[in-house]
Amino acid sequence: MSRTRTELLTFLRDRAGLDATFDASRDLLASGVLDSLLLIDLVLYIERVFGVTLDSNDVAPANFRTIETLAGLVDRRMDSSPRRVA
Amino acid sequence: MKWPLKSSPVPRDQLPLYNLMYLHAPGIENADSTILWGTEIDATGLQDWLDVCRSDSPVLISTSHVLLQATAQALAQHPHLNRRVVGRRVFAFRNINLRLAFQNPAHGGVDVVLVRSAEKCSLQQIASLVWKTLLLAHRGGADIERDRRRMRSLPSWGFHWLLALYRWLDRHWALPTVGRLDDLRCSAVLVNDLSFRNAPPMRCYKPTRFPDESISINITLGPMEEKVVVRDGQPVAGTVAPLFVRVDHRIIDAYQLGRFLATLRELLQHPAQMDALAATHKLSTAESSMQRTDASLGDRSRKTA
Repeated sequence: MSRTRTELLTFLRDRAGLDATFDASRDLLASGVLDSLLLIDLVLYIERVFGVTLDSNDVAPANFRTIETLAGLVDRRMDSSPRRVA
Repeated sequence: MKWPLKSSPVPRDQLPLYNLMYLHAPGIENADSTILWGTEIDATGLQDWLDVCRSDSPVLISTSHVLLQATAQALAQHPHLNRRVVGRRVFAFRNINLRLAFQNPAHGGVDVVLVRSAEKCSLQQIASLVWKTLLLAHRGGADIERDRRRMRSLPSWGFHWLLALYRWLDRHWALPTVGRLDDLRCSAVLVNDLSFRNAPPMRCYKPTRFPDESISINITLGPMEEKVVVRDGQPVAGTVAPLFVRVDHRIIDAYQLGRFLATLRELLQHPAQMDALAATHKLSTAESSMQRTDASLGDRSRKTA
């Protein structure tokens, strides 16, 4: 499991009080886990931890369907953003 | 500077006698003009519609967005609710603008999204605007956030006297809106979606009334819950949600409120029809603006001739 997926899953489990059986492939929208408050928190968490800024156009069902789809979006954005030279 | 209210008040002879009695009551101790009506909606259609939207919409649609659209369409069908009291007069709003209250953890308080001409907006347009405003507010980068910070930084006496002056002006004159904060006054309705995750079941809800009297109507949707409902004469398990509407008797009476609530309930139970209604409103506005342009061109050509 990628680091992004693990961290997003941990954040969501903590914030939404989900048990360990809730995995990254579960539908966040159909299960009713993701309300607007949690979604905004999630967007801000991604911004803070991964340095990826999501805007209102990114708030789409295709991106927020599961932790996997969301992690995929974050990973793609991190890959496409210019990397810092140490 | 914008003028949210129509220039002339609603003529006195168009207001029912009992509304006038509340309007001319000498003080708050002599009358309580608040009417509160709570009902329940069968939320099955709403849930099905949200599922459809989540499979083919490019924007994530939530209950709040559908509630905003339903409120706008219901107000378009009952325009006499889109009014407010100024002193002892009733003024109609020029547009159907809606406010949506939301919790902002950035400062631990409530913020408001304003949706202008909401009856002409599609569900996607409403959702996009709401997400954009929510993200901006939570990041603390919105211009209005700076205004709020300035307001909060006022000393208590300054805050008190500023509000007292504003309330006095607002009570006596149909004021224009001049800033970002008071721009929120251009809407008669505050929409509250309290159907957040883990919200307790709601049996009764009495919303507050904002001191400046610009919010004549408060619409609150509570959390959905499984209940036994009767369909085709048979008791079955169904999803229901409570819906509360608070209005001011100086503007409408209980019969008119009941009719409005029936429309709102119907729209929330069958939300698929609303985008078509919004398109009709948009088209009729475009047509009437074209007619106005044609008429003014006709006037000009007659003058030229």
